[in-house]
Amino acid sequence: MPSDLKTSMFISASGMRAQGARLRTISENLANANSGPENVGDEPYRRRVVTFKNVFDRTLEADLVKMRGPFKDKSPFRLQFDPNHPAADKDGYIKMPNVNTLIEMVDMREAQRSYQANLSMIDSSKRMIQRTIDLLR
Amino acid sequence: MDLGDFPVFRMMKQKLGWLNQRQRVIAENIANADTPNYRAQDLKQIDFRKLPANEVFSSALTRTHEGHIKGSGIDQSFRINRENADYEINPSGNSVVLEEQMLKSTQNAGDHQLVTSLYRKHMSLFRIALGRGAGR
Repeated sequence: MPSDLKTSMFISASGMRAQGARLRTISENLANANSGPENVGDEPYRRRVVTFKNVFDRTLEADLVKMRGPFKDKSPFRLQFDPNHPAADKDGYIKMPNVNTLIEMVDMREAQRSYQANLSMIDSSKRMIQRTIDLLR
Repeated sequence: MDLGDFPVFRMMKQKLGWLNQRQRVIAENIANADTPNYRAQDLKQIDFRKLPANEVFSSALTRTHEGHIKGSGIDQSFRINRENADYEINPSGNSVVLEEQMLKSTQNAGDHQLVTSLYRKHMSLFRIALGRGAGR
Protein backbone atom coordinates (compact mmCIF):
# COMPACT_ATOMS: atom_id res chain seq x y z
CA MET A 1 0.00 0.00 0.00
CA PRO A 2 1.40 3.42 -0.89
CA SER A 3 1.91 5.97 1.86
CA ASP A 4 -0.91 8.18 3.06
CA LEU A 5 0.48 11.22 1.29
CA LYS A 6 0.65 9.42 -2.02
CA THR A 7 -2.83 8.04 -1.50
CA SER A 8 -4.12 11.52 -0.82
CA MET A 9 -2.74 12.61 -4.18
CA PHE A 10 -4.62 9.79 -5.88
CA ILE A 11 -7.80 10.72 -4.05
CA SER A 12 -7.48 14.35 -5.16
CA ALA A 13 -6.80 13.20 -8.71
CA SER A 14 -9.95 11.10 -8.71
CA GLY A 15 -11.87 14.18 -7.56
CA MET A 16 -10.40 16.17 -10.41
CA ARG A 17 -11.32 13.50 -12.93
CA ALA A 18 -14.90 13.47 -11.66
CA GLN A 19 -15.16 17.26 -11.87
CA GLY A 20 -13.71 17.19 -15.37
CA ALA A 21 -16.34 14.71 -16.49
CA ARG A 22 -18.99 16.93 -14.94
CA LEU A 23 -17.65 19.91 -16.82
CA ARG A 24 -17.93 17.93 -20.04
CA THR A 25 -21.61 17.21 -19.41
CA ILE A 26 -22.23 20.86 -18.59
CA SER A 27 -20.69 22.01 -21.84
CA GLU A 28 -22.79 19.43 -23.66
CA ASN A 29 -25.90 20.92 -22.09
CA LEU A 30 -24.85 24.47 -22.88
CA ALA A 31 -24.00 23.66 -26.49
CA ASN A 32 -27.39 22.03 -26.97
CA ALA A 33 -29.40 24.69 -25.15
CA ASN A 34 -31.28 25.45 -28.37
CA SER A 35 -31.32 22.06 -30.10
CA GLY A 36 -35.01 21.79 -30.89
CA PRO A 37 -36.97 18.97 -32.51
CA GLU A 38 -36.88 18.33 -36.25
CA ASN A 39 -40.34 16.96 -36.97
CA VAL A 40 -43.70 17.04 -35.30
CA GLY A 41 -43.77 14.67 -32.32
CA ASP A 42 -39.98 14.60 -31.96
CA GLU A 43 -38.34 15.42 -28.66
CA PRO A 44 -35.71 18.13 -28.35
CA TYR A 45 -32.39 17.68 -26.52
CA ARG A 46 -32.87 16.50 -22.94
CA ARG A 47 -30.61 17.95 -20.26
CA ARG A 48 -28.10 15.50 -18.77
CA VAL A 49 -27.03 15.43 -15.15
CA VAL A 50 -24.20 13.64 -13.37
CA THR A 51 -23.80 12.73 -9.70
CA PHE A 52 -20.83 11.54 -7.74
CA LYS A 53 -20.37 8.59 -5.47
CA ASN A 54 -17.69 6.99 -3.33
CA VAL A 55 -16.07 3.82 -4.60
CA PHE A 56 -13.60 1.83 -2.53
CA ASP A 57 -10.41 1.11 -4.42
CA ARG A 58 -8.79 -2.11 -3.27
CA THR A 59 -5.26 -1.45 -4.49
CA LEU A 60 -5.10 1.98 -2.85
CA GLU A 61 -7.28 1.00 0.11
CA ALA A 62 -9.03 4.32 -0.18
CA ASP A 63 -12.39 5.76 -1.15
CA LEU A 64 -12.16 7.36 -4.58
CA VAL A 65 -14.72 9.59 -6.24
CA LYS A 66 -16.45 8.18 -9.29
CA MET A 67 -18.89 9.85 -11.60
CA ARG A 68 -22.34 8.31 -11.98
CA GLY A 69 -24.39 8.90 -15.05
CA PRO A 70 -24.94 10.94 -17.11
CA PHE A 71 -28.64 10.60 -16.35
CA LYS A 72 -31.43 12.31 -18.20
CA ASP A 73 -33.14 15.22 -16.52
CA LYS A 74 -36.84 14.34 -16.32
CA SER A 75 -38.15 17.88 -15.96
CA PRO A 76 -40.67 19.08 -18.61
CA PHE A 77 -39.56 20.82 -21.78
CA ARG A 78 -39.83 24.50 -22.35
CA LEU A 79 -42.66 25.45 -24.75
CA GLN A 80 -42.05 28.13 -27.31
CA PHE A 81 -44.60 29.73 -29.57
CA ASP A 82 -43.35 29.48 -33.16
CA PRO A 83 -46.12 28.51 -35.61
CA ASN A 84 -43.83 28.57 -38.64
CA HIS A 85 -41.44 25.98 -37.26
CA PRO A 86 -41.69 22.59 -39.03
CA ALA A 87 -42.02 20.82 -35.66
CA ALA A 88 -44.78 23.08 -34.32
CA ASP A 89 -47.92 21.34 -33.03
CA LYS A 90 -51.43 22.35 -34.04
CA ASP A 91 -51.49 25.22 -31.51
CA GLY A 92 -48.21 26.58 -32.90
CA TYR A 93 -45.92 25.53 -30.02
CA ILE A 94 -42.59 23.69 -30.23
CA LYS A 95 -40.82 21.90 -27.42
CA MET A 96 -37.42 23.33 -26.54
CA PRO A 97 -34.71 21.68 -24.39
CA ASN A 98 -35.09 21.82 -20.59
CA VAL A 99 -31.69 23.47 -20.24
CA ASN A 100 -31.46 26.58 -18.09
CA THR A 101 -28.29 28.40 -19.09
CA LEU A 102 -28.04 30.17 -15.75
CA ILE A 103 -28.08 26.90 -13.80
CA GLU A 104 -25.46 25.43 -16.10
CA MET A 105 -23.19 28.43 -15.58
CA VAL A 106 -23.49 28.17 -11.80
CA ASP A 107 -22.80 24.45 -11.99
CA MET A 108 -19.75 25.16 -14.10
CA ARG A 109 -18.41 27.60 -11.51
CA GLU A 110 -18.87 25.04 -8.77
CA ALA A 111 -17.04 22.37 -10.76
CA GLN A 112 -14.25 24.84 -11.45
CA ARG A 113 -13.84 25.73 -7.78
CA SER A 114 -13.77 22.10 -6.67
CA TYR A 115 -11.25 21.30 -9.36
CA GLN A 116 -9.04 24.13 -8.12
CA ALA A 117 -9.32 22.97 -4.51
CA ASN A 118 -8.26 19.45 -5.49
CA LEU A 119 -5.36 20.83 -7.44
CA SER A 120 -4.04 22.84 -4.51
CA MET A 121 -4.46 19.76 -2.32
CA ILE A 122 -2.19 17.80 -4.67
CA ASP A 123 0.28 20.65 -4.49
CA SER A 124 0.24 20.64 -0.71
CA SER A 125 0.69 16.85 -0.51
CA LYS A 126 3.54 17.06 -2.97
CA ARG A 127 5.29 19.66 -0.87
CA MET A 128 4.87 17.53 2.25
CA ILE A 129 6.45 14.56 0.50
CA GLN A 130 9.28 16.76 -0.69
CA ARG A 131 9.89 18.07 2.80
CA THR A 132 9.95 14.57 4.23
CA ILE A 133 12.49 13.49 1.64
CA ASP A 134 14.55 16.59 2.45
CA LEU A 135 15.07 15.19 5.93
CA LEU A 136 17.67 12.94 4.35
CA ARG A 137 19.83 15.86 3.34
CA MET B 1 21.41 3.93 18.59
CA ASP B 2 17.72 3.74 18.11
CA LEU B 3 16.17 7.14 17.63
CA GLY B 4 12.90 5.72 18.85
CA ASP B 5 14.44 5.62 22.31
CA PHE B 6 14.33 9.38 22.47
CA PRO B 7 10.91 10.64 23.48
CA VAL B 8 11.22 13.66 21.19
CA PHE B 9 11.86 11.55 18.14
CA ARG B 10 9.11 9.16 19.05
CA MET B 11 6.69 12.03 19.40
CA MET B 12 7.77 13.51 16.09
CA LYS B 13 7.32 10.18 14.39
CA GLN B 14 3.82 9.88 15.75
CA LYS B 15 3.00 13.42 14.81
CA LEU B 16 4.27 12.90 11.25
CA GLY B 17 2.16 9.77 10.93
CA TRP B 18 -0.82 11.68 12.21
CA LEU B 19 -0.22 14.59 9.83
CA ASN B 20 0.13 12.23 6.86
CA GLN B 21 -3.11 10.54 7.70
CA ARG B 22 -4.85 13.84 8.26
CA GLN B 23 -3.72 15.06 4.86
CA ARG B 24 -5.37 12.02 3.38
CA VAL B 25 -8.63 12.62 5.23
CA ILE B 26 -8.70 16.27 4.09
CA ALA B 27 -7.96 15.23 0.51
CA GLU B 28 -10.89 12.83 0.71
CA ASN B 29 -13.15 15.61 2.00
CA ILE B 30 -12.16 17.97 -0.79
CA ALA B 31 -12.48 15.32 -3.48
CA ASN B 32 -15.99 14.64 -2.20
CA ALA B 33 -16.98 18.30 -2.01
CA ASP B 34 -19.91 17.64 -4.38
CA THR B 35 -20.80 14.04 -3.51
CA PRO B 36 -24.36 13.72 -2.22
CA ASN B 37 -24.77 12.58 1.40
CA TYR B 38 -21.04 12.83 2.13
CA ARG B 39 -20.12 14.05 5.61
CA ALA B 40 -16.81 15.77 6.27
CA GLN B 41 -14.38 13.84 8.45
CA ASP B 42 -11.40 14.73 10.55
CA LEU B 43 -8.86 13.03 12.77
CA LYS B 44 -8.89 13.15 16.52
CA GLN B 45 -6.16 15.42 17.84
CA ILE B 46 -3.13 13.71 19.31
CA ASP B 47 -2.68 14.60 22.95
CA PHE B 48 0.81 13.74 24.09
CA ARG B 49 -0.01 14.66 27.66
CA LYS B 50 -2.54 11.89 27.84
CA LEU B 51 0.02 9.31 26.79
CA PRO B 52 2.37 7.98 29.43
CA ALA B 53 5.93 9.15 28.86
CA ASN B 54 7.38 5.94 27.56
CA GLU B 55 4.39 4.43 25.92
CA VAL B 56 4.04 4.24 22.17
CA PHE B 57 0.78 4.36 20.28
CA SER B 58 1.31 0.81 19.20
CA SER B 59 -0.92 -2.15 19.70
CA ALA B 60 1.93 -4.64 19.34
CA LEU B 61 1.11 -8.21 20.17
CA THR B 62 2.75 -9.85 23.17
CA ARG B 63 4.76 -12.94 22.38
CA THR B 64 3.76 -15.69 24.73
CA HIS B 65 5.29 -18.51 22.72
CA GLU B 66 8.52 -18.88 20.82
CA GLY B 67 6.67 -19.78 17.66
CA HIS B 68 4.90 -16.42 17.60
CA ILE B 69 5.96 -13.87 15.06
CA LYS B 70 6.74 -10.46 16.41
CA GLY B 71 4.28 -7.85 15.16
CA SER B 72 5.82 -4.86 13.46
CA GLY B 73 6.23 -1.61 15.35
CA ILE B 74 3.87 1.26 15.48
CA ASP B 75 0.28 1.01 14.48
CA GLN B 76 -0.21 4.17 12.53
CA SER B 77 -3.90 4.46 12.31
CA PHE B 78 -5.50 7.17 14.33
CA ARG B 79 -9.16 7.43 14.92
CA ILE B 80 -11.27 9.14 12.28
CA ASN B 81 -14.11 11.25 13.58
CA ARG B 82 -17.15 12.35 11.74
CA GLU B 83 -17.35 16.05 12.27
CA ASN B 84 -20.34 16.97 14.35
CA ALA B 85 -19.86 20.73 14.40
CA ASP B 86 -20.72 21.24 10.76
CA TYR B 87 -20.91 24.75 9.42
CA GLU B 88 -23.69 23.81 7.09
CA ILE B 89 -25.23 20.92 5.26
CA ASN B 90 -26.43 21.62 1.77
CA PRO B 91 -29.66 20.19 0.33
CA SER B 92 -27.90 17.15 -1.15
CA GLY B 93 -26.73 16.12 2.34
CA ASN B 94 -23.12 17.16 1.82
CA SER B 95 -21.37 18.90 4.69
CA VAL B 96 -18.00 19.77 3.14
CA VAL B 97 -17.16 23.47 3.28
CA LEU B 98 -14.27 24.07 0.92
CA GLU B 99 -12.94 27.11 2.78
CA GLU B 100 -12.80 25.18 6.04
CA GLN B 101 -10.99 22.29 4.39
CA MET B 102 -8.48 24.56 2.68
CA LEU B 103 -7.76 26.19 6.02
CA LYS B 104 -7.19 22.79 7.57
CA SER B 105 -4.87 21.72 4.79
CA THR B 106 -2.82 24.89 5.24
CA GLN B 107 -2.61 24.23 8.97
CA ASN B 108 -1.59 20.68 8.26
CA ALA B 109 1.16 21.75 5.87
CA GLY B 110 2.43 24.28 8.44
CA ASP B 111 2.53 21.69 11.20
CA HIS B 112 4.34 19.32 8.88
CA GLN B 113 6.98 21.93 8.19
CA LEU B 114 7.32 22.55 11.91
CA VAL B 115 7.89 18.88 12.70
CA THR B 116 10.37 18.32 9.88
CA SER B 117 12.35 21.42 10.92
CA LEU B 118 12.35 20.23 14.52
CA TYR B 119 13.61 16.87 13.36
CA ARG B 120 16.41 18.49 11.46
CA LYS B 121 17.37 20.70 14.41
CA HIS B 122 17.58 17.72 16.72
CA MET B 123 19.68 15.79 14.25
CA SER B 124 22.06 18.72 14.03
CA LEU B 125 22.34 18.64 17.83
CA PHE B 126 23.61 15.08 17.49
CA ARG B 127 26.00 16.20 14.84
CA ILE B 128 27.37 18.86 17.15
CA ALA B 129 27.81 16.25 19.87
CA LEU B 130 29.71 14.07 17.42
CA GLY B 131 31.97 16.98 16.61
CA ARG B 132 31.10 17.26 12.96
CA GLY B 133 30.73 20.96 12.54
CA ALA B 134 28.08 23.11 14.08
CA GLY B 135 25.37 21.21 12.27
CA ARG B 136 25.05 23.81 9.55
